Amino acid sequence: MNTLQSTVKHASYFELDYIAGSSLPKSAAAADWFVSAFQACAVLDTLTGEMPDSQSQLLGVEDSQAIADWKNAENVSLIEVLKRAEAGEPRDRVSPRASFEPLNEWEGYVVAILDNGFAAHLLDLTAGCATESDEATFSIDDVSDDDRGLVGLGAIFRWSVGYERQVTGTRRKVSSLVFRRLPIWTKREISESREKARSLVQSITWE
Amino acid sequence: MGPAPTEVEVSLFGPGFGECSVLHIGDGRWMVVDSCIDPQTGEPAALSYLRSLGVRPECVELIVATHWHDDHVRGISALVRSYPDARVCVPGILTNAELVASIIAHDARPLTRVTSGVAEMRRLLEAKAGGTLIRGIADRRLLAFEAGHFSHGHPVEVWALSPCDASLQRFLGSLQRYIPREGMQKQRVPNITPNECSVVISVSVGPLGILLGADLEEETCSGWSAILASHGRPSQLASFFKVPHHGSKNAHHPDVWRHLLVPNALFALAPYNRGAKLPSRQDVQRLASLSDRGYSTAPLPKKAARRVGTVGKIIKEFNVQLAPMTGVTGQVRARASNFEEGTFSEVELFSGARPLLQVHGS
Amino acid sequence: MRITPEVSSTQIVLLGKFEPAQFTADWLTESGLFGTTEGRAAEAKMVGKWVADISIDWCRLFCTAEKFALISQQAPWIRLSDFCLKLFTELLPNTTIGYMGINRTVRFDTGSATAKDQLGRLLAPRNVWGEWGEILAADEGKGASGLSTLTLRQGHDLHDRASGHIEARIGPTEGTSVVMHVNDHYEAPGKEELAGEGDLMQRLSENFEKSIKRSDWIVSEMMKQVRP
Repeated sequence: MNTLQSTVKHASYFELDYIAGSSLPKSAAAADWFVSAFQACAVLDTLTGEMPDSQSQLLGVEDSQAIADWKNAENVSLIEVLKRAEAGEPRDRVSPRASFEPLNEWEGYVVAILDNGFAAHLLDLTAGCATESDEATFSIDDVSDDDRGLVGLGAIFRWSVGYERQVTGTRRKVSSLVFRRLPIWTKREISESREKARSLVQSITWE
Repeated sequence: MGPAPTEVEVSLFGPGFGECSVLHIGDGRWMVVDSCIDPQTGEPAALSYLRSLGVRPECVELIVATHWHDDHVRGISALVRSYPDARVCVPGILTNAELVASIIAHDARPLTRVTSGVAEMRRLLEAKAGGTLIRGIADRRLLAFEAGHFSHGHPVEVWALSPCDASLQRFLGSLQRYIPREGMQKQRVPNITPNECSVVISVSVGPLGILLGADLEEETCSGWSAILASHGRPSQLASFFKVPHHGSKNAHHPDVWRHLLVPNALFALAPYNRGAKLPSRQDVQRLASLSDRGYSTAPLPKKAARRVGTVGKIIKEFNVQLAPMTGVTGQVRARASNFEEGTFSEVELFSGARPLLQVHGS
Repeated sequence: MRITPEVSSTQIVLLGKFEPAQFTADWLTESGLFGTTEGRAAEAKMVGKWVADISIDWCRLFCTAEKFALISQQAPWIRLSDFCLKLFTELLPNTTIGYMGINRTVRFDTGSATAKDQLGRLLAPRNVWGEWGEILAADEGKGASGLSTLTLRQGHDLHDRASGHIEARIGPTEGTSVVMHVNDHYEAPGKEELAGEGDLMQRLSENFEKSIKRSDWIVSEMMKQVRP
């Protein structure tokens, strides 16, 4: 395997993220390295025969003109060309994002639906409580549009309060309510639970 | 100090969320009904109390889980493990394998930090795998000792008065939508109401009667009506009543006070901090009109607790109403040694416990 | 004075066999992984056969044919775990995965160049580097020489996984700030399994929050060493 190809495959995510757009500042050299490594992968796939005939299919982009532009141009990264092709204009690099580290976090579950909100029991995770510590009443306005459909009896959420640090370094107070999108029960889980239940009930002598 | 061998004692514990009853039936023999966690110790309140009295594990005769609402079963599996020789009674509905399967499924891969009554019931069942469980159903005698078995000389009987078959079937029906099915999103099982499968317990020690109402609510032709109509239940009137469902009007039936209790019976309840706190002021007035010997294990907080510091400021700024759910575990304890009177003459209050009329802080 | 983090990031990284092209905003929304509003506002920098890079306000999904990463700088971190569990146990249970990292990256400000240098000297005493160390020591405080990165690994006494390790790396620095990265690494038994029925997703559901807590503890132990 070519050294560059293996570099990309084994690069730590930290390095890729560092380059590709976390809140950490990045050097131009590092960004170029990323693009080169990506390009190298594509080229090497061509050489090894893994790339299909149509490069546009390989890259998932329909605009073969963009690919041709890239081949004909020098010192232009493929990613930049693709972005221009998609957006029709040059794009900035990924902007760093705000960061939110909570001062306190609770897990809660809805115990009652009220007229304009809900009541919940809260487990203080930051304090390490083993049982519910508080009851809270929240307004439905505190819940994002996307989460309102998740509000129901028994629904579980996380409530976090603290400061969000903006990209500029300024801080703002945050109270964040996020309802958990838990997976569904799978056929295997249902089947396993039925088998365990059958075995458990049968093992007990019922008077 | 523990009760004398010939004394009967009944205690109700409640920290503001959760309740449990601990009874001394004679000669250092005990029984426990339901379980709650003492927030101060993190242990089941019954366990803490019995240990404080030096009660040996083999001296607990019976443990009853009246139903699996969170506030009645927290820590009950630890009790069952701590008292392995005790007979254990659970809601009769738990012989239903589909229900047990759903309990197991809910707890199989817990993805959340909040626990639930369902998880406790699972642990209780697993603790008794290979052992024996008693089905709690209407008009079922759970325990009996003949006169002379204890030094007080009186017979002791413990009965389950509910649920009846009709209630069980209806409850199973209402449970259907919470039974996990393939493709259903995982969630926490809410406390299902009305509570029709709660096991009401009647204890008699000679002429002394104790009625522990669990969370049984009143529905047409079921709940308390079914108990009152039953011809198979014991006829002993109770002089101590654990008021069901935190004193709510849903669990109130006036004929319980007329036909199952002695006049002006001693009663106790454990309050419940919820969106609508129980007992309400109307509940308190209603109960106080029926007997002037009412007690609560804890007060209901008037004001929301304040968090201090930055967190408190942010909570205040975002106008979230926060109130503590639990405080110190209160205890209402009644003892009786004079069986001729047939009443509990001695009442003691510990920690936050207080007369019912002071539950809202007045 | 207690040092606290400036910014932090949590990541779940999986190594296996993936199909980046399927991670479109539409698919992620229809699958319930993105909310409707989130999906509409999603920024898809690239979604193609080899790379998917799509972001919403609280997370970024980056996927190549061999690596899947979900990154967030916004608590609650449990969302990352919920997302991956839903994705790989419910929606794509037949995905082959072999390794998992539950990672934390934290940047904290030492407060001064002196404090930062002091920390560097604490972690990498110059005297053990012999004569070269003396040369580095002579460059003290000028910023051109010093500790760059240091990695420590715990590979034993880890009872919460079939196989794996915990690695903590300190460095690089940015001004007076220091970046620490903790990689909590899990390996599937046999190095390869189907996500839906394998060990790694089970470990994720059991260990995610404990892992974050442990990583934060490792970082805070380091932050205590800073003398501002």
